[in-house]
Amino acid sequence: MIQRISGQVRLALRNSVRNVRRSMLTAITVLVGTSLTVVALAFMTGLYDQIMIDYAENQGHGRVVTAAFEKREMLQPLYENIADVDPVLDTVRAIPGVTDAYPVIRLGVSTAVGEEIGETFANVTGAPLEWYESHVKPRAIVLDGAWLSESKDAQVVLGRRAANDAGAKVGDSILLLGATQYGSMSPVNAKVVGVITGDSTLDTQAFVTLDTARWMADMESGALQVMFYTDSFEPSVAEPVALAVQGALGDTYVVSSWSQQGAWPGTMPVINGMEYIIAGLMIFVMVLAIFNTMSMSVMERTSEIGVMRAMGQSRIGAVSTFLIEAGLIGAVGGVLGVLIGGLFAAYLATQGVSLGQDMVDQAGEGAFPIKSTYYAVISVQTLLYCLGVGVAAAIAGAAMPAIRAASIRPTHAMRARR
Amino acid sequence: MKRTLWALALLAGTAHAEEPAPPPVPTAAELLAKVDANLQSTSQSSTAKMVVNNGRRTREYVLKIVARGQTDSAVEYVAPEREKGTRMLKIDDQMWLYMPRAERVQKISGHMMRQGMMGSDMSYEDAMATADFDEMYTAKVAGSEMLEGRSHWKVEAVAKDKSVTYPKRVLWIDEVTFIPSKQELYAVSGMLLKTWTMSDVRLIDGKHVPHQMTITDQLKPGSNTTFITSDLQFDVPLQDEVFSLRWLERGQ
Repeated sequence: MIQRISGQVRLALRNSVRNVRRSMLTAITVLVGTSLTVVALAFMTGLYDQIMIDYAENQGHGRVVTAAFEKREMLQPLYENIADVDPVLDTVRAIPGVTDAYPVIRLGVSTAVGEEIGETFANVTGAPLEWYESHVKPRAIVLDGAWLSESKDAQVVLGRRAANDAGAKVGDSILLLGATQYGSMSPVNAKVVGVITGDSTLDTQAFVTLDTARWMADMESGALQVMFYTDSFEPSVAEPVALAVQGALGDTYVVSSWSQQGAWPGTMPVINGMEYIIAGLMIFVMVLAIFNTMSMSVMERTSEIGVMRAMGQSRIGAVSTFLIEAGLIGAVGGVLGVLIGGLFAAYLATQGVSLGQDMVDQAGEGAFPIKSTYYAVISVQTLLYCLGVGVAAAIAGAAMPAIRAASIRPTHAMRARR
Repeated sequence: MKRTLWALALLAGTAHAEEPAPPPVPTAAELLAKVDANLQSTSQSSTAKMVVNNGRRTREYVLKIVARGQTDSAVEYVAPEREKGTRMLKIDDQMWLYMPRAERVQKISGHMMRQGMMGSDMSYEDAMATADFDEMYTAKVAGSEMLEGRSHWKVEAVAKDKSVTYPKRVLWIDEVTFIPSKQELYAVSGMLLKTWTMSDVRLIDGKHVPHQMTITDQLKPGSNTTFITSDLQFDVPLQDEVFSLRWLERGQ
């Protein structure tokens, strides 16, 4: 058996160097397809991972809200808050897998630096300083000024777009006019201490201390939600922890991981399916090209196949010879493709791909945080996957011509030779 | 038997003949002019309790209101404590707000004009509107209807100008007091935006004046805002100082 296989491999090797130009063409097809797959998958992985990480950092790996808030969330019902948040925080922090938890208040405000109000808006986030330290500062760039600090005067750090819209700069006094949980006006005259940028979500926000937000919303010791973090943002980690938190808090509250919120439940399958779509498209293109070259090869070798078949080569043997030949060429093209694609992906991993600031501004307050630059992420898993895609495409492309070769009758082949 | 029937028929005929003739149908313009006459004054002052019910919670505010003609008004919140000292000033078609906590005077514009004052069902735009229906709308009388046991003229009014906040109104005007007991306010699309009722009508200085108004924003399910007016006085002497930005910042 082993002898037979090694014989077929030797035959396939010999065949593959008989028409170097054609074999090169097949290998280059696989090389181009594989390298493009590497680059596309590495970039898509980097893009999606970054969007998910930014979203999960901004919203928490999981969150706790009241059941009533969850039901009417679109209306931002501040009155459906967690009135006494400390016991909830204690319960959440005691759950294994929860690394930290913070009370957070989010509300929409009108902003004004000049004498008119009503034309510009921002989303105010009020949270403890520790949250900013751990979960906002690492992913934000301070364009001007500094971060929030302990102060008895109201301070605000503005996202780039919120600052531009309001015409505010560091040192200005900006009016944040929101509403309390009862609906009455809650004006805060805050000093702009910093302007930051990061992604489209950060850019449209105004960050204040939890105390300032509590005054604005008129929640003495409450919060709109408790955000908690786990060891990893991965849904496979965050979702079971969210389930455990839900179990501990009961039905008064609704606990969800970031991946279970907003548009994510519908988006996750698309993201997960994207690599298969990319790989599928690449395989399709490669299969078409390889089918062409291998068909030519079968036509050229019709008489030879006839001789081999007359000498007792089985149909399976004939098919195997062609498939092994395609596999070998595919492996060479795949390895080279992975190397070249890997090099290009490595370049994108360090230099990134700029989508432009317009893209960030257009994303605005959309469901997903969008950055101006994304970096590719390469993993051994992706490289091996792409190599497999290249080889599989080569074999799949050779399958039909190989079956055709195996179906050639020796007598017909011999006649054709004459 | 025949005699009895004749007698009944005669009685019925007599009774019909003695019924007072129905009042002539007034024109819509006449009705709106009478409504305007009730709701307009050269100057007035009042205290109002504003009860805002958002469907879950109710919150009460007490306001002192002074108005000069149809275009100028000044409002000061005196309760609750958190809102105390908040003042609003409307002069012609402009509105300013003073918030003591922020120590700032802000001119209200843009999208904020459509937001509810203090979370109420009355927007700043509603507060800005003048009670000058005859000037703003072209109307027609659509019939007479009973409302709360009283006869009302139903008037359908369409705005003459695109700048009017509500392009279409349907008013039920009390046939005796000429107060619009109920109004439905519509968007251009025909969507019902708000309903506005007026009740507790009292005769003051020869005017019929509603002392309770309830506004229901149809886009905020379950919410409504009621204004209960007290200490209403007409033709009160008002200093020009009241209708100035200086008053807004300093108060009385």
